[in-house]
Amino acid sequence: MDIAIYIGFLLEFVGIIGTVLRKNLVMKLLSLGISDIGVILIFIAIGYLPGGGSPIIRENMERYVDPLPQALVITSIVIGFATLSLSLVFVMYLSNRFHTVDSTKLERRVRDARDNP
Amino acid sequence: MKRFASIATLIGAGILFIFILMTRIPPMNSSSIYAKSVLREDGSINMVSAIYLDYRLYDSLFEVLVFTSAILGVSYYIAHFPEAGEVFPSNSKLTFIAIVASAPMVVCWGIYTLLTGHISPGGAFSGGAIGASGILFLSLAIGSRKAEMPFHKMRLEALEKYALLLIASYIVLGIFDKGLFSPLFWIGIPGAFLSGRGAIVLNVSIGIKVFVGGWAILYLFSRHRESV
Repeated sequence: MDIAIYIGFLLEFVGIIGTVLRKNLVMKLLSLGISDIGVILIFIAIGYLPGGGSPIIRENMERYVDPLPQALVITSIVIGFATLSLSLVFVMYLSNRFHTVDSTKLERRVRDARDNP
Repeated sequence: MKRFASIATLIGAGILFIFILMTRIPPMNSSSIYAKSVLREDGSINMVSAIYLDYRLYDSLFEVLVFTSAILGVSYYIAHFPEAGEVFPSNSKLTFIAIVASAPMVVCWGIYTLLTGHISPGGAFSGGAIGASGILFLSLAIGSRKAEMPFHKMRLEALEKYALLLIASYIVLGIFDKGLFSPLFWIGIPGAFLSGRGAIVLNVSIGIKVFVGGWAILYLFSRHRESV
């Protein structure tokens, strides 16, 4: 259980660093996806119980894994899909208008377009 | 800039390390208590479904609202781009036969997962996603225009709005005294198909929402694919 939590934290860290430091907007979104996966792994690992069954009630069964983190993971997946698709549309919009997905060049071109309309 | 990046990475790694050292997860687990209270209060034997359709229904409502606003945003902003035209079907006869034979099975599997979310593994979100991928699969075989036709003919976009209205009205009916959320309301026999308070109604409405939304997003991206 512990190793899964550490890997989850590590994935989250890698994702956040990638989101902040990568210049390419598509790579930023992919890094956001990696940190999302890290969060999901931490949730699943927190709810894990050695020898526990899946959280569907059966007869002669006493130990189940914790169902609450699994219910939260559903939220995480759906929100991840929604934000990813919406931000991909914005990336498409920016690249269609300014012909780049590099954030530094994008800032410069947005500033130029604002100063010289 | 490089130096700033490496210093920020080091500080972040340090904070993360301290956070990991401080994290202690209690070894006990309250899931057997969950099992007893779910059987007594909700009636569905899938505990995850009982949590997101009963105990944390507001969570699911706002999740569906976020999903709805994402679909609205995608369909509004993607209309600015020129269309790339139809996704043409594959020429291979074997692909056609394999997909036409298996896509209805995928859709039926999605509907089954959606309807039995409260008594078996599955639920509204996974069922809707399976159904949407089945329709998308079908559009590889018969072309996107034919696969799009039922979308307009059955007014699925309006149906999606009605599904949201159904969830909202379920919640409004529930918060009254002796309403759908009260402990005395019908819960059914745990394990039977008709059980779990409003689990079937909520599963079907959230499933329609995810089915139409997921399919619309993927379809819009495929229709505007060459415009960047």
